[in-house]
Amino acid sequence: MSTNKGFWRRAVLWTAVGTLGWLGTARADVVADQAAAILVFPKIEVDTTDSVTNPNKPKIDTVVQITNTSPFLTRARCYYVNANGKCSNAGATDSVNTAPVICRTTDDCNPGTIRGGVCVPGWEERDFQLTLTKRQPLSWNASTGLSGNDVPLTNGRTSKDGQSNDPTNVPSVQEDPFIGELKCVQVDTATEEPIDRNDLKGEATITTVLPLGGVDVRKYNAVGIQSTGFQDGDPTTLTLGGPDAEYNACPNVIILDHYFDSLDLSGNEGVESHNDGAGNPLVTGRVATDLVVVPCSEDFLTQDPKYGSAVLQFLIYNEFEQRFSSSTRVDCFKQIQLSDINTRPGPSDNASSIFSQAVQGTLTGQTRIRPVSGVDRAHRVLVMAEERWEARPVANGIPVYTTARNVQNIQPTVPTDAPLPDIIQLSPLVQ
Amino acid sequence: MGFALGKRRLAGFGAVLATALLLGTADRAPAADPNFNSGVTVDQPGAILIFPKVVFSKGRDTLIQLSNTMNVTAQARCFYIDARLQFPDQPPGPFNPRAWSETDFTLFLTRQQPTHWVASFGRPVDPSDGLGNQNSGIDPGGIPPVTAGFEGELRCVVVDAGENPIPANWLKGEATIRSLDGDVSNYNAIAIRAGERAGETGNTLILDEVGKDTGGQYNSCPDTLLFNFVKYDSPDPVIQQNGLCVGDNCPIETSLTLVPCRADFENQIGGQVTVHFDITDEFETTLSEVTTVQCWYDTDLNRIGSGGAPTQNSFVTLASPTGLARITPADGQGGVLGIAEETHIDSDNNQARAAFNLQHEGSRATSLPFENFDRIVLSAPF
Repeated sequence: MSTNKGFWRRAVLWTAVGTLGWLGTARADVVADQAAAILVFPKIEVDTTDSVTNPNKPKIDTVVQITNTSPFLTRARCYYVNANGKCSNAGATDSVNTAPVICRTTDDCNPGTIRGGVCVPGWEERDFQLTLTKRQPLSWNASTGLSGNDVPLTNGRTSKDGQSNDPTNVPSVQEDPFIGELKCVQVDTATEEPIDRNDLKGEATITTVLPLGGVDVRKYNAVGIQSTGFQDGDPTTLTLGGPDAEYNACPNVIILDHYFDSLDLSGNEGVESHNDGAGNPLVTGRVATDLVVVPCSEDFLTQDPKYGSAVLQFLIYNEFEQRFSSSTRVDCFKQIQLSDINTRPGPSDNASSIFSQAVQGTLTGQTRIRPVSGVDRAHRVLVMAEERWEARPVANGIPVYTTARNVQNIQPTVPTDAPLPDIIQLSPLVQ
Repeated sequence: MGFALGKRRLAGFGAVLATALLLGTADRAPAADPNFNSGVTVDQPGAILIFPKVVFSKGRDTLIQLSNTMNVTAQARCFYIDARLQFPDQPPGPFNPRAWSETDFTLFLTRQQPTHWVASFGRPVDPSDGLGNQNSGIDPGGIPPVTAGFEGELRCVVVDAGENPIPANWLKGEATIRSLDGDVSNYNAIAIRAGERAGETGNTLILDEVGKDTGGQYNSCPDTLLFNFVKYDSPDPVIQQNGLCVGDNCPIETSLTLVPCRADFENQIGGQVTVHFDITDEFETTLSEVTTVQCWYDTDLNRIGSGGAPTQNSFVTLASPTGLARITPADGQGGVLGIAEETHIDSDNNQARAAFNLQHEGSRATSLPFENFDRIVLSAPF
């Protein structure tokens, strides 16, 4: 009898586990290793401008790759988000310098003896359509886009099934230099409305090349947000997570394994070394990590740059299991060196940062990033990390070699863990 | 009382029926249906971590980072698999096999503790490490160095204090491969997540689960890897566009690393899988290649399917700048996992590398009979 009871208990238990697990799968995670309905490229960078004073000024461009993994014709609506700042004193001059229009930091606006300029954050989107035939990969340079005869299957060229890329017309990014993100949403080929399929995957390769020789490259996978299989009938409002989720929720906790910053420290602390091949720890180099953060909620309809703004709480563990914490705020796009999260921008205070190797005493750490939920939306974010490693010896002017990688996350597996959704408001399609 | 028991039985029977329907649906799903993904992930912590490419050769060394993401202490058994060729300067083949010899060690991580080491140095236990030095921090146990010429993989499995595998998705990891000039290239470790029944069969880990947390032992391996590549040796579009590619001599060369999911550390038997490459270019032209992954596979794209010699294969003759390769094991065989690495070379022969994780779809467990499911057999602890 007790055995019988045990059997039924186990049966019910397994059913509950299986069902919850299955539901959990249906409402799973953002992914960097599977196809999805929404692709997010957190960082697109372009700077192909010349410099009159520096003939070896690096040229930077991003190659975007997007692939249709399905055996069907697929379409996407994509949005470049230009996060360039603009100098409030653009055009101001002293005897030598001129304040530029585009800036990353306030220092950029005050070259030489120019003072008083402020770098005002920007947020501007440019959208386009992309049609991909069966299992077709496409790629383009962000600085030039993909249009006209460069589109593989257009101008009368079709696949063996008669499919074409029309009306694909990928514009260049809005400005040069440019920094920002790219989001693409899979839509129905007939109605142009979001569709509950997960067919898109993507990669971005950011290349830096020096005119006098030298190259650096980093590559990351686009972050995919998968459809839950449910569409609420409102084609311009995409709901990520929450009780009526059309798409999976963004992560509630993001985990970043990283080296503590040592790149701009003055002492000998924190030098990573590896073997020179003969057993000597002669290959050394300092390292710094940059976070690139983009919000999951965005309003392409009213162009509100603060729609997805989020407060991020950081919990940092070093290799002694010592714990530290900090916080910061992100509006529409943020690239920040770890050491600048809790100190002033720039290298002056970095040795005192809790992300500094000088403070932590160990070379690596684990940082858990928790977006604080708002009253209206979840205000979650997506993150990628870039490491900058000192090149030794400086290889033909390349001072640092960089890597980019997707950051891991912990995710609710049941909908009730994400009571509030993130929202992406699409702009209506102009026919 | 009898009536109540009947209701319970009825409820139980219904529940079992529901489960059977769910599982039945999973069984009938096409192998490559992405809605029935394997659950293997590079985005979340897992119970088995696989670093497909660890090298200490040709001027490169590997930095391993590994973290416990939980608020409890974690223990893991790790296995370095040395897969160097018997004659490293010759292409692999029947007369030049890979070694596939393993060295294992045990890691202990405190709550939320990150740790790291350089493959060539390992990490000795040394309480006098001090602060700000290479091995500062709580030592995770002795980690042996790999020897010069090492090429292979690293696998770690979460175990309990008795070294029994347990259902604990606690570990995450990253690998950074660094060259003599400081060039770096990194990827996330591939995590195989444990299900409720992980450890049920002791040191034999069965990769039977479809999706995450669906009641199996461990995630099955993917049915298909999705690999977007740049045509081998084609000019870097950024260097070219900026007018810096002299004589079109600024190639991108890509290498691919694949490891079979199955491994038997008790009997020292590596996996062997025949994989098919179904390639689609930007004009939707389809091409194919085939090769065998024996223990550990690492090759430039222009050597795939040729027995190791450079050849004009589909990765070289592609009609467009980029392509999509769907990498699928032959019917009835186990799965593979892998990463890729691009080398960008400018006209002055400066190089920079970038590794990246492959994407995947489907699950091998939906197309294999139970007896053919991938298994990882750990060596029995002494």
